[in-house]
Amino acid sequence: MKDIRQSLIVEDLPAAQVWMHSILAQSFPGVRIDVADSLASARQKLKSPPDLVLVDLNLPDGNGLDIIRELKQQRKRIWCIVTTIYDDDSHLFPALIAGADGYLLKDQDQADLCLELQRILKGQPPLSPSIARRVLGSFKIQADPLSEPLTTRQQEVLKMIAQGDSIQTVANKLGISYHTAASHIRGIYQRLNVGTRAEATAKAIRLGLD
Amino acid sequence: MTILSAVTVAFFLITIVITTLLVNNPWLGLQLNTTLTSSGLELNSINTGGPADKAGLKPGKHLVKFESISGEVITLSDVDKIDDPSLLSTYDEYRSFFKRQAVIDGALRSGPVKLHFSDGETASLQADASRPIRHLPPIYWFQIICAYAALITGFLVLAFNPNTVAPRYYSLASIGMALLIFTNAFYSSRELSLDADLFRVVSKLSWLGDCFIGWGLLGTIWYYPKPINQSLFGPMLLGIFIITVFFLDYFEIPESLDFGQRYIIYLSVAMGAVLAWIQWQRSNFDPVSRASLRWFLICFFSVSLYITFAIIPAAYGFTSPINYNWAIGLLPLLQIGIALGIVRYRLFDIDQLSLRIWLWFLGGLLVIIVDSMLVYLVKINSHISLSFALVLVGWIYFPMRQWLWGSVGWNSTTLRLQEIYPELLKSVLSLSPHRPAGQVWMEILSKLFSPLAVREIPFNGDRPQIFDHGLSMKVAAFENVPAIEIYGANRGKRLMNPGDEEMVAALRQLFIEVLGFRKAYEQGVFKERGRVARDLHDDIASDLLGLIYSAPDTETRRKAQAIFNELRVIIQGMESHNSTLRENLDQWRADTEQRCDKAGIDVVWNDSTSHQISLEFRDMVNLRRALREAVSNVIRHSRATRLTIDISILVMDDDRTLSITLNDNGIGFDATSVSARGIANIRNRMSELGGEAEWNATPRKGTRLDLMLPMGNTQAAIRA
Repeated sequence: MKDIRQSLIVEDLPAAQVWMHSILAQSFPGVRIDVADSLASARQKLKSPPDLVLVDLNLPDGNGLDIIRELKQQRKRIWCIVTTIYDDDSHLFPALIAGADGYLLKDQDQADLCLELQRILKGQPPLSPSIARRVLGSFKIQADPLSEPLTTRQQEVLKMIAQGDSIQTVANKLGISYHTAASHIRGIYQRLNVGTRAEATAKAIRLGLD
Repeated sequence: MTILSAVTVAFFLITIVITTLLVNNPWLGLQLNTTLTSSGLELNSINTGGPADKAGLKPGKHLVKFESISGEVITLSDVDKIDDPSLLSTYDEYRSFFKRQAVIDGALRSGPVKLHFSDGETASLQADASRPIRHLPPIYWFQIICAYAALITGFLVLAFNPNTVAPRYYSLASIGMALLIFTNAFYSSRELSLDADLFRVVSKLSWLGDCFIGWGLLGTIWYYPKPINQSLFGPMLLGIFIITVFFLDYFEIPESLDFGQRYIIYLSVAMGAVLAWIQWQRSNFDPVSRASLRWFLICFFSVSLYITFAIIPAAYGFTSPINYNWAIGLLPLLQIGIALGIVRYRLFDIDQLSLRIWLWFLGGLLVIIVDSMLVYLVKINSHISLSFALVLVGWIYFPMRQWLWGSVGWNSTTLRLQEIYPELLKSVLSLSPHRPAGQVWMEILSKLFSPLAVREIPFNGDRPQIFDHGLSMKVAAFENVPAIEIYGANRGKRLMNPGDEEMVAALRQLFIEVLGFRKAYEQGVFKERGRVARDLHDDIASDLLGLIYSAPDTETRRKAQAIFNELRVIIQGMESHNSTLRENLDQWRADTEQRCDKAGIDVVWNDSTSHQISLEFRDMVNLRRALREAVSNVIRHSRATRLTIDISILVMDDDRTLSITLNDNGIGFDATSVSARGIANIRNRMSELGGEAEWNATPRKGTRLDLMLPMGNTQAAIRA
């Protein structure tokens, strides 16, 4: 795991900026934290790329997704994490498609958020039942031979999460460790992730997001 | 087409033959009428240019007798001018009639005759050898045309249906009818006499015609719409009967013509009626055959009309209201009706048409009867009596007819629509996932037509269309409603008609409009919800988030976070379409497990629901709240360590109930100690859903809460 030395918070609500700032400071002692309150200012600040970005989807001059998409297309090794109020599929699914590495729910305790952040960086991102269902559905529709389908294991995990099982329960049911179960989710994220702009557009169109 | 041309040619040939035979008879140039008295025959009119005219005779005189050149005196009576010798009572009379004809004919041919009138005057005339064609009475030509009509109709049917048996019998009947009419035209248009031998032959031919009619019609009704019996026993018996009957008359075996002809006709009519009744019974669930039979029946009573007005009066000596010869015109009615039945012309209009014909007939009959009664019984002058009759009938019959029309309700489909219209509107406006549009559509059509079956079939026409003569109607799909077929209206007793097509088309249009309206409405509701969600998000979420961040202690923060979670769920719910129960249950499970986990309670979640069930947004919210509140109660008050939640669908008869049971191993409760507010909330939510909440607590052992939600009938839910 790469060291996080520089980070950027893209957020327009001042109180949330402070909250996130605090979390980053606790998670990565000594990290440099920069704040942008709009897409425009974020792009400016990204000229000197950080190691990790916390992006709010709801920005005054646009959707934070765009940043994530741009960053991922440039194949920069930057952690892109979405901060959001929602954990349902209609809000988050586009972010995952765009390549987000995980998401944080803004209303949670700082302690919980730090834990989640650590997990994401360990390759164990969160997944709500709603998103899991949506992922399952979207991979059923796709019949594209070029894109890789989900592995059987990943499908199993998705199904259980969609039914509301916690990761621990999934691990128990499959007879694997918590870590293994959680890292399957990372794999699922990667399946959703896209490397190039063309793929992104194509995928978005196919999944009816455009 | 060749058959028809052949028939037409034959017809012309026969006409020429008969006409020639008719005109080549001695002609005096006068029109003689019966007088109903014993003073000979009345001179009704004089043909211009004929011998009588040249002799200066004037109409109005009564011709009592005439004298032949050899001195033979012949006294004339009404009998000599009888239209048809078979109207006489006995065969003796019949035979003497022909003897007289021979005498008269001989006298006219052998030289000038001396006419003696009732006022004592005499005149001497020499008959012309033949009659100019232009002096043949109009009624002659009328009958010739009727004969053609009869002939052609019979063969038309055969031309279009050459392969089945019934049309062949039918053609036989039409040959018989033509024969009857030709012969009748021949001798009823005679001036006074015809060559006796020829006359007699033609009279026998006339009976042959009658026999053919009987044979043909009885054969037809035996075989149509469906053969009564597959064996040839019936038809053979029929053939034997007819042949016997023919020779009975030919050899003049019985004493009276009643037995020789008339009773046989009545018997045949009766046999026809019996066969028709048998066919009627058999067509009980076959509306197409039933409708064809109705055409038969219409004709059947035109035969009765004929018999009533033509044969009976003439044969028994009453004055018939209708001239016997004009009544011949009724015969083709019989023909046409049966032909229409056999070619199945517009069967589906038959109900209305047959009722109208019956009512028309009854109306006319009533006028005639009342008139006759007034003339014969009350002895009122006939002009006055007719007016009287009309007035009486008008005051009695027409109101009765109107009432009859209304109460029988012949436009049954329209009346049905009026009855069910309020229900129709209600169902259409109350569409829901439990009562999908397809089901409602089928229900409405079932109520309207009471069909044997309504089923889904593929069909693409742009309008509803009837098939199989009205047995079934197919309606194309629209929106979420499949294409369907309505089969066997009125439990298979009625055929559907173009009026029904129009009504269904109109209904379908109405349905489409209403569905469109609902869709627009739902979209409007959805948009509005989206707006509200956005408002909530924009205005409240950020403020609430601020509250979380700035909370002074954990307790406050927790409270704010709980509120925020609620807000999140509401906003997310509002922005999605109707979700399935399954999706929500999964989410609720995750929430419940998380909350109970924090409170140290083990959760066992047993969900056995498997169908895709959809609930209205509002219902989902209420259910979630009820469940959440119940779990909160367990967390806060029960001190339980284990909570088991069982979710299942109970099916009873046709109804389904969603059941959520919470069982905890806590301290139980008694009715007074637990906050009434919590319980009331749960109760309220469930009752808003149309469901129930029931508690069963055992102190110190645990509490059990049953939440029950009825889900409507099985069919609807599964289709949803």
